[in-house]
Amino acid sequence: MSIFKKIDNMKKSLYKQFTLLLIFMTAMIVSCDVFETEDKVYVESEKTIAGNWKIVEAYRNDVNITDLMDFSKFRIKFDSNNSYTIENYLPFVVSNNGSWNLDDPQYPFKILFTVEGATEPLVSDLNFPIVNGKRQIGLTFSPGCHSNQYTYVLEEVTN
Amino acid sequence: MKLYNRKNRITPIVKLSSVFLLFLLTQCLYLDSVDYDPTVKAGEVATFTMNIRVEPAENSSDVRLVIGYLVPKSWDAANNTDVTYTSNIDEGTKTMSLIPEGNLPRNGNGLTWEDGLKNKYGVGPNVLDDMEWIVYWSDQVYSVTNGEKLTAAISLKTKTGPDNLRAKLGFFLNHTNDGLSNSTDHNKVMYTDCFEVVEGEGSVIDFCELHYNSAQPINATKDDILTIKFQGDIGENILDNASEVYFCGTAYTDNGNSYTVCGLEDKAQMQKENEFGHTYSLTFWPAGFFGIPDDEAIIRIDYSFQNEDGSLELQQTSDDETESPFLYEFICK
Repeated sequence: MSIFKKIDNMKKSLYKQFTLLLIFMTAMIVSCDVFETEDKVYVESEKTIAGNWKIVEAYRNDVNITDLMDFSKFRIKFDSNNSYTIENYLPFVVSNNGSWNLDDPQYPFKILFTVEGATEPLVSDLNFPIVNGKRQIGLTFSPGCHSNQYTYVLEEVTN
Repeated sequence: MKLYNRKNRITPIVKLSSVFLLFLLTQCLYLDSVDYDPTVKAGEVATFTMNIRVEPAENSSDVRLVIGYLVPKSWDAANNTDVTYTSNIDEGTKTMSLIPEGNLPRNGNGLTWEDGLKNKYGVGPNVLDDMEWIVYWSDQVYSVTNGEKLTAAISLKTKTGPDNLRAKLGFFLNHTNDGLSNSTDHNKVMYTDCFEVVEGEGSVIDFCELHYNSAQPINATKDDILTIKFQGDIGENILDNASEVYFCGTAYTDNGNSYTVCGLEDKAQMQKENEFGHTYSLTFWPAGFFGIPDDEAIIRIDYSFQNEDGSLELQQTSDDETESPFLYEFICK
């Protein structure tokens, strides 16, 4: 291949690269333009735990004890008017019915239970993940000796 | 082509140096011994001394020494322990502190130091779960050079809990540049023989050896969830041929009442842990199980294990061959 042919090929290659760069930059400018003209404010939705919940997993001091005892009958119903009722009681944050609140409705990390007649709430750590498309509530608390910690994972009763 | 040849020439050199480096790195951390008195009175201070050597195989900077300590949870050792050390490169006594919560080990797969050790070693040779790993690092950050020979004596002083117990305590040695890797050259672990806490409260909780019975958690109130096991596999016993095993227990409360659940009731039937063994367990909420009124607290449960018709009952046998029920005391401090 002659030296002139090589130079000619290089020119063609540079021209191609320049054209590609131009198209890419135009696309960027256009896309940036579109992005900048949008004026959306994203607001985290308020979380609600209203519903009837059952225990699907139970842990004692981080050891899974779900299959060791019958947890299936326990129910806690959180009403949208912030009252809760417990059926078929098992060791839990509170032993009597009362009212509930979240520490932050958008980003909840704690749930506050106030038993009927009590002035101070009892607080449980709260997890609020979606697992396999289902919303779950994870509650961690010490109903008996303070050295023991329990976690219940709750799922909403569908039927 | 030339590049290929050069690569080929370099590869054996790289391989050789890697092997050499690996050999060097194998000589690094040693936990030579742990010194301790085998018995301590409940509530008094137990002292353990880890004698260690560090022989760095490469220059490292910004490195801290890390130790782990496996102890019964009832000691609340994180709040009741002082860790200090002396070494041949430091003047005077130096201190170690609990590793801050947000600091994760470099090779711990996202777990904390405590969870990483629990995952790696569990509760070591102990037979009950109610133990925890507590992890400390040196307050001083070190730079070490290849070929140095460091020795140190690390002293852990812990105020023991109220329970009478026997346990094999664990001691772990590592450093922050390694951070729980799988390398046994940088991770060393050692367990004591059966260490005893005496003259405390309640019957002896034995983490060291299996018995026919076990109960967890070791500290509880009537509002915990209790698991009682019959471990029939540890020796020949009268329930070897029983097709079902039932719990038989009486709860004694603080106002002198007693409540019994015994034998042929659904809720007293124990679950077999697996098809082939003779280990059975029963997990229950004591207040609900025995029907304890709100204003009474359970002090203790006396219990035994029975066959289907109650004709055979297994209790504990003392040295003089007399039989008495197994005992679980409700202690929470």
